[in-house]
Amino acid sequence: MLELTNIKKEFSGQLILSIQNLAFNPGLYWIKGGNGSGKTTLLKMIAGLLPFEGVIKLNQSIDSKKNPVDYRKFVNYAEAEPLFPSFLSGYDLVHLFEKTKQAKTSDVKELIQAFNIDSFLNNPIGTYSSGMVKKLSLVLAFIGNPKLILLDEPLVTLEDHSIPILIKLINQYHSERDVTFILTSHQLLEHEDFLSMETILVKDKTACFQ
Amino acid sequence: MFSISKVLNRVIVAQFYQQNAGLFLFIFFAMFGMVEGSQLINYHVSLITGIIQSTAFLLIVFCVWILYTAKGVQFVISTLGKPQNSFLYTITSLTRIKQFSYLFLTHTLVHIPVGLYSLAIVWVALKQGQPMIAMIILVFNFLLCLLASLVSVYKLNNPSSFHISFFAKIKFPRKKTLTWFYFTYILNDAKLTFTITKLFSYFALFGFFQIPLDHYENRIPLMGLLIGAASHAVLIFEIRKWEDSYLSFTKNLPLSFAKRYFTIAIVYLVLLVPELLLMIVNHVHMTDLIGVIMFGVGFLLFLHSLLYHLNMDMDKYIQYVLIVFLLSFAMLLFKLYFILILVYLIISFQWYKRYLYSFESLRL
Repeated sequence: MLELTNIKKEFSGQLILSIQNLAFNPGLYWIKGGNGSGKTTLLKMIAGLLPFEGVIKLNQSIDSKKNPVDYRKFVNYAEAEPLFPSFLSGYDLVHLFEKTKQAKTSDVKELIQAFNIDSFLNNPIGTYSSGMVKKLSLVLAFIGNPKLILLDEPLVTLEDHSIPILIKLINQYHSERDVTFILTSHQLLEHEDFLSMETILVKDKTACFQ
Repeated sequence: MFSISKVLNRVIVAQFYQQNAGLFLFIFFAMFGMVEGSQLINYHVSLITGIIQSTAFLLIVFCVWILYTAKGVQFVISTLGKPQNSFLYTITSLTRIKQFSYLFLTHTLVHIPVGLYSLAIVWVALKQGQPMIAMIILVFNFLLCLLASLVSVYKLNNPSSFHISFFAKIKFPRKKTLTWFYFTYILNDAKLTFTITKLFSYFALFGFFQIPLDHYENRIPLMGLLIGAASHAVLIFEIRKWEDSYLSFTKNLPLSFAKRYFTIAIVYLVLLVPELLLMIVNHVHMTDLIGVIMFGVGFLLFLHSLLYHLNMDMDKYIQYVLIVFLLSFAMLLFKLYFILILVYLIISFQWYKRYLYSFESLRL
């Protein structure tokens, strides 16, 4: 469902990542790797946030560079440390995502309820704690009709009782909506929590299945 | 009665003028500071004559007054709702008529700036033999104060009512577009740059209109706007910096290049509205207005995309702005502004398309 071919990522003339070929079938994937190994860079490239050499295709036909709008309809992303304009409310962002990702209002409401963020959604983001911002960014990542959701360190700053909610949503979206997930996490993910989980290792400036 | 009025004046009216001093200063400057002293009265008589003679113009003025009144109502209600002002709720022990009279006085005092200009309109209307217009304006002002007072009395007696319904209706369902995000940034985080830029830009254009000419010349607004638009360089740099830091998540949204470019074009078009109004007041021909504004918006879009091309290098950016400004000025002298509009729009769109996804700030 996702294929990376001849990927090369440099920054200031320095090679960060080089991936000959990496193909993802529908499923759940956990990207492992040390600090600075390039996990976030890889996710950002797949999300269309960072430029790179090479080809990333979704469902064999939607090229991230040649079909940028279609590609972004189906690929959602939540940053490890999300940064949003402080004077906007969470509600402003939810609406923007709902509109642009063409989501059903009922689905969005369910997500808001699931993460229990409706009590502060009207407040400016500048007043949120890091955990609240994290929850907002996770809600935004599920909005729309994604085929692929990329979650960078989704458990960081997330309160304990929200973790099972997130895991339940991941399993639910995967089984009911056929959504593929690629996660990075420094925290240990329990394989038995997920329906299935494959591991990818980012090491020595490349990525491969473990 | 006197002491209650005194408290309301101190807690609400004085605070209202204090907190909105910047806004009043700007309006005062725009209305009276931009016109040469000897021409001030003639200028305002012409403006008021326009209001009296054109229904559309009058309706626009009424809309502005309604907005001002709404701002006043919002201020009064929010002030009444503050915990430190909870003592004001003792007024509810008075009869409704007395409560109304206190708040009517409060809203009338808040309404003074609009009221004074309304009196000037009434005076001109009577001088020009238009008593009906004078009457409409007086009644409209009275109704605004009346309605504002009634809303405030209701709020005073139903403290929780508006918190749930009135404000919830204004704030909660408001769906902000991406364009609106830019305005909220400019008005929240770039206030100072914005104010200085707009004052400079307005002055530059205004200065060009003071050049005495014996015939109509469309290069006057073009050259004035070029200087004004160039003064937006720093504001645009701030906007681009903010985009890179806080709007990077929007790169993941399924929006076409054209839509994104159009969003920014709208932002810059709205930014140039004060200059547009100044041109209308100075009788720039309607056919030229469209071209001049396209020229201004094109120039700002060009600067926006130029920052992608120069990788946000401020030193290079300022040099380029100067070069582009000089070249544009020279071309304007030869009346080649339509070519400039095309060049600005084509290059800025191409750069935008080329760099939007390939641009990478130094922060990974």
